Amino acid sequence: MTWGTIMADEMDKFDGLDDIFAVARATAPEPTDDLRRRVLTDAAQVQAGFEQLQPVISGAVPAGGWFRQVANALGGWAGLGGLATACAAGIWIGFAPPATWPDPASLVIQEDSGFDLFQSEEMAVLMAMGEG
Amino acid sequence: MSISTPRATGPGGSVVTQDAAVPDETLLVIYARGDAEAARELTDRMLPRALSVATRVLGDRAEAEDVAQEAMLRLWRIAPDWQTGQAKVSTWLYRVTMNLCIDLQRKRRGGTVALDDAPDPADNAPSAAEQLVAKARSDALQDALAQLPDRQRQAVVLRHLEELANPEIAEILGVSVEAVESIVARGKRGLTAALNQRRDDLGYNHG
Repeated sequence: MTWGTIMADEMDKFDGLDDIFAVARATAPEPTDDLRRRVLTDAAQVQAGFEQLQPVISGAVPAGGWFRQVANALGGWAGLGGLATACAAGIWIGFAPPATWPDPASLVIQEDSGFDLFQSEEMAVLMAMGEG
Repeated sequence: MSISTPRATGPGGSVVTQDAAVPDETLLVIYARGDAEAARELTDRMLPRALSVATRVLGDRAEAEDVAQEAMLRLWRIAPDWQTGQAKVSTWLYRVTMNLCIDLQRKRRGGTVALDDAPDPADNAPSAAEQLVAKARSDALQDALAQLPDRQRQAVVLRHLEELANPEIAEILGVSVEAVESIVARGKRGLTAALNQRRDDLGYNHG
């Protein structure tokens, strides 16, 4: 018999442990009304979140109309974001093109063009002759 | 055990949830569908357990209340995703509570521990002497529990105060059943050694 065994046997002579466990079980702490109220408040708040998410969770009816369907077809919000970025870049390039690119605005407005589409001076002469 | 089917919930959330035969996880599903009565019934069933183990493990009533509230909050949050048939709700709650206690104990390592949060016994009552002895024994157990290593304290509380079976304790603590038996045995030896020194104070005679 080792010293450890002797010590264990000596300790085991204390036979009140089960009694003390029983006392502790009988005096288990009870939740106070305040704690119960806090827990139920949490429950109500979390539950309110579930109710807002209910249509999404159930998945019974797809949310949204044609816009949602088109968005989904384009890859959802990520796809729409990319599309919007590309559009914005196109508009910006249209107004402020890089220096090496022709200015599309000047092609339309033609203020600096030397070519007179209607040859306005000759037209004015012909009109004067016609009046005369 | 026969399990009665709860009534369908209406917009007002009325359901027979106080029937003890309604399983905990059924109540959780009903709660997730918006029934307030299910929350009250689950609170009645689960909160005392979380509070009890947290109080015994932490030795501090205020901290135990915070832990119990947090454990219940996590229960509410997981309700819509609860996988029926996987684990008992009470087992899940015990595990979450224990993990929260472990986190708290790690944070406060080196701090002081308040041990005496039990209410004082009523004075001048006929059973005042008995109540004093009971309080002394309960306090002595709390002191002795506080001296145990964390794992032993948790296992002893679950086994002898919550009276759970070893397989469930194993699931809560994430160890084997054999390990639970060993941990509980060592914990009881530690408690016995600590309480043996106060045998006379606690009203136990040598013999």
